[in-house]
Amino acid sequence: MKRKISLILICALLVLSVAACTSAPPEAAPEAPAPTPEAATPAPPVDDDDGDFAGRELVVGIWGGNDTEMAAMEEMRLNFEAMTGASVTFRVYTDYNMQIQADFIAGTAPDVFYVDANMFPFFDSLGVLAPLDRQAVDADAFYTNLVDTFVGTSGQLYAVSKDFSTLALYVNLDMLEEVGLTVDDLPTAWEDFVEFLPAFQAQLDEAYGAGAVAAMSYNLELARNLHLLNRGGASVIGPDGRATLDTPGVLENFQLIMDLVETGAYQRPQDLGLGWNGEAFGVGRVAIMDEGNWVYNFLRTEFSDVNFAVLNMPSFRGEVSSMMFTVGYGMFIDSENQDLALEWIRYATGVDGMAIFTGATGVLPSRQDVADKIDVAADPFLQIHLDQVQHAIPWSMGLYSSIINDEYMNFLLEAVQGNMTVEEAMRLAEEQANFQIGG
Amino acid sequence: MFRLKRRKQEWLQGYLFVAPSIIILGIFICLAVLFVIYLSFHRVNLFQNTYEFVGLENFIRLRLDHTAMRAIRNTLTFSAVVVTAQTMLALILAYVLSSNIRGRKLFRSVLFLPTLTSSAALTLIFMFMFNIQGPVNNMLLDVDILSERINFLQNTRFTLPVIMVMNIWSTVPFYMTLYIASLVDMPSNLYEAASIDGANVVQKFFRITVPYLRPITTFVLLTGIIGTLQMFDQAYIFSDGSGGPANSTLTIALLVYRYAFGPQNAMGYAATLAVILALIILTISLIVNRINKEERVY
Repeated sequence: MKRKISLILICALLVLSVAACTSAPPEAAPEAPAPTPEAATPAPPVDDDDGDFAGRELVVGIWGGNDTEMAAMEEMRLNFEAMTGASVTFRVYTDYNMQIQADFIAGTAPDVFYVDANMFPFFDSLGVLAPLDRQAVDADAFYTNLVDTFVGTSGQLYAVSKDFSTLALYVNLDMLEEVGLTVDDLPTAWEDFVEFLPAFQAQLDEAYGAGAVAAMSYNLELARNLHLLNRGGASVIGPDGRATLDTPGVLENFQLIMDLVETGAYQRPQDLGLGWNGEAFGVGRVAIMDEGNWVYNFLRTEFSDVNFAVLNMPSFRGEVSSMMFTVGYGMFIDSENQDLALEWIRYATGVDGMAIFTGATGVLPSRQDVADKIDVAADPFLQIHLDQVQHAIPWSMGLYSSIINDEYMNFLLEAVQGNMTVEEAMRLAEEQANFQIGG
Repeated sequence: MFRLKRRKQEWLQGYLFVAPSIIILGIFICLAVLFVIYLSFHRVNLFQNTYEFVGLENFIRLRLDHTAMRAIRNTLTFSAVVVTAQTMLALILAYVLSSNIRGRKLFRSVLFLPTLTSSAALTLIFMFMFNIQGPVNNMLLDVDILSERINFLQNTRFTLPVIMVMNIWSTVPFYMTLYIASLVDMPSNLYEAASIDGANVVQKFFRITVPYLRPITTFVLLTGIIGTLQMFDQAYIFSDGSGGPANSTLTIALLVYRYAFGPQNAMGYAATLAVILALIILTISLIVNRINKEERVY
């Protein structure tokens, strides 16, 4: 009898485990509610302008932001739902670029999702984005370099910038005052900083104690250094996207960073034992830094006692440039809800949607009409960040940017630490990057 | 006849009992292993779902890959240092704590604590401790061992050793507990006999304790080797996934992850690296096992 019971139990277990293996992949469940595709098919032909979207569902793939960002997203969601009658679900990814790849492979990606400009060439090469009609998304209203960032190899537009950020120069005014300087005493060219920094560092050491404050901080990443390295016609990558780090132009431009490092006053936040520029600047370990506008609200809220100014980026080789970072909305090529997805893109990157998001979060609007609407100019510091759009280059460096950046960070760190010559480091970085790229 | 039927029934029952785990292991281990081997001979694009047979190309490519060679070197160095140190420390601590010193229960509990902490949290704590402004630097400066601060987290000479220290510190207690468990069972007359023969503490340790614990040592060495050669999480957190600075914390497992899920889109090559890692682990484990067996003969 006992044996029979155990046999039955085992059979039950077996059936359960087999059932668990054969049942539908759990990820797909929230993604493809059975009624949606059926409801979707008849709807679009009817009309797609003022939309028969009532009762349909849209999944928007995003990465999580801070509370302000999520509140702004929530406000946009409610407005969009009231407008269209559709319901919107945010699918929030934690490791976005990694996890969304798994969804591409499984064919379960959200209908519309964030596309980081730097990841765009990769997404483009995978063919996961649906082309967008320029008129439909009002492309002419956007800053042109932000539109061009999302043009794929086919020449079509695949994503629409939802906002952007730029680098500008931040200066701690109290520290300047302490050593008897004003903003006007600061150089306006990177080359002049090489002369300026040693004396400034000596003054800081005298005022605050040796090693207490670094005159200027930097990051050794292509996302920050690219505008310097590409100056004067040089280029870090070739037309095929492979690394061309070990070329005379790039080497010559990198010499600026070496010269600055050799002053001993130009340090990475990691050299100071801190996480990032914003923190180093906030706690008063750094007097000058170039940072993105995300640091602006951060300093205002977390370090409200720090008295700072935002300045235009210095020139290098007689030319002012900066980096800009943008994220757009793209549409999944296999989405059953492309009409609704397009409607979301039109709303979120349109005047109303973008005004809600950029107005609340301190990122810059990608179009001038929104900048006017939320009155960016009322804040001169934010306006300086916005002005960088004139000359900044977007952080988007072809298909292999993350490989090239990894090797750049790896080997050039050896160069600035003095363990290798710049030539050797650039050669190895290029070699290793191109090896990994293969082909 | 009845007996035969009964035996058959038992046989069937046995298989039914192991069936659930066989099925699960079969799908998630055996099939996965076979699939990885299959992948290692192919160029794979998961997005376009294409598998192109390339023969040994991935393995040939490996020989030219300086990054992979660096990862293999890092991993082997890491494993050699950590396994040696953790085994010796565990053995010595176990020996000390199984003697009748005062407060040994307290020591055992306190020493066991690191094992209970997650390695992610441990890594972050160690990164704080070894920060250029952190307590380790402060301490070394205070006692004049250092004249200026060392950036343990950025200086490529120190990054891997920091992870080694972290790993040793967190794994020793577990192995120590294994040793203690065995030492508790050890007949005390062995020590008594040795004392009568005039052996001192050190002699007792090397002549009695160490040989007695040999089977445990085999287990400790094997799990240690396997664990360290597969090290991923600590390096990942330490370097934010890059294996930097300057590839100094790049391990094979981390490189596999980078190749498989990075924009290289090189799942096939990543599988090749994984196969190589498995072969390395297999070889070293076999050698260790062999050495230990040979010594057991006398």
